Amino acid sequence: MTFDAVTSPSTTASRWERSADVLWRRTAEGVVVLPNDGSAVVSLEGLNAAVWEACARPMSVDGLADQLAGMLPEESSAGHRVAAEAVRFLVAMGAVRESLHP
Amino acid sequence: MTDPRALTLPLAAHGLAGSMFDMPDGPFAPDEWFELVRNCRTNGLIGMLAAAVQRGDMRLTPPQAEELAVLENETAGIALLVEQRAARLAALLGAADVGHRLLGGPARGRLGYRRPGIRTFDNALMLVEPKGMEVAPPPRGVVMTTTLIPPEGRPITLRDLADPPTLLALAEQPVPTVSVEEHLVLACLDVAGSWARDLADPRGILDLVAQRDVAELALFPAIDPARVQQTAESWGVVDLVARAVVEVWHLFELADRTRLSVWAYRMTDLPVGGRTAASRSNPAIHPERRPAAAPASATGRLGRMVHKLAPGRHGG
Repeated sequence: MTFDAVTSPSTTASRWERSADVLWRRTAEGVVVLPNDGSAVVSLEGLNAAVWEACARPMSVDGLADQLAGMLPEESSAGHRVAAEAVRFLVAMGAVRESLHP
Repeated sequence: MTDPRALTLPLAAHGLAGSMFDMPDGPFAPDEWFELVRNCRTNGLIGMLAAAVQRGDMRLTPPQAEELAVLENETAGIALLVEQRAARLAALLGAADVGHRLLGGPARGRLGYRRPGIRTFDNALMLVEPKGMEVAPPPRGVVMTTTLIPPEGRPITLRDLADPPTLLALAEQPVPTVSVEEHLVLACLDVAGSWARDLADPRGILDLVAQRDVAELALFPAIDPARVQQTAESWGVVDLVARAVVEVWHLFELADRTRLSVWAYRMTDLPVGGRTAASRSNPAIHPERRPAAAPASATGRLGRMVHKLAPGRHGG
């Protein structure tokens, strides 16, 4: 699966979790992550950091939208879309992956 | 105007249980801020500065806060790169069946600190079997050596360390390191090394991070004081360890008494709260007496320690 499929209707049941092979450190503002096979350090703040924190256990986009509702647009579909965009970004960075656990 | 150097010690003590230093409110005048940031970078305290601000114990202007965020991210990123390189080196050594232990900031921070993110570093130390020196050149930021030479006592090699090792998970890769008790003894040796440097160079930089390491590790809930003592005895550094613990307890004004601190005060024949000769002459306690230190990186601090190491290949 590629991260492009995050918002695809067929993957609404997908769950997302932190990539195992990522080094990370908490900072005052968020989290800094470095995929073990990468060379680019990425600073996560705000919603991206919150999504990464939430993905300590496998989470669906719906679950993330519920849990992080206070940081998302009030309108449901817009909130879902923004949460999915955050997941897509984190997957692209190598910080989050699709969970192998159902 | 607040003397920024007087802030360094409270920052190094910030968040330690039982330590009661007053943190100036801020925000700071431009010159004060410049000096504060410079001293924090020099002493490896950027993470602790950011934590103090985050907790609301120090106020900054918006530009200062923005600058600090950039600095903290940069410092944290360097620490991650060092960990990545150390993990890769550990994998190479493991594949070659070479015994090794990751020492220094990465292991101390992740094993001993309640908030690992505040412990920043820009290098790591890999202690290896002699044959390991031929396996791979150390990557930048990782120093590789076969022997540690403490200020007193005898040289320490891999054979002196507990086996099996403690395993530190870096990106899910198990990296061998030493026990928390051995880390504490090694941190005490770093503190003792800084006394010698202070005597040799009164304008030098006090190794506040090593002292913070001692405090964090000594206050680690699961630490076994008996194992600390046994390790210190077997390495012939009991006096140094006891003096370092007393020094740190006094420097950070730690109110909590632990089995380890009581043991240390007994060993040094001092009443609890008393001071060693080293701490009496320690300029960190009287920062106003200390001239402004020249900027130096954490690598520089480790570099001084490494000068005392047996010959070995160092990271570039």
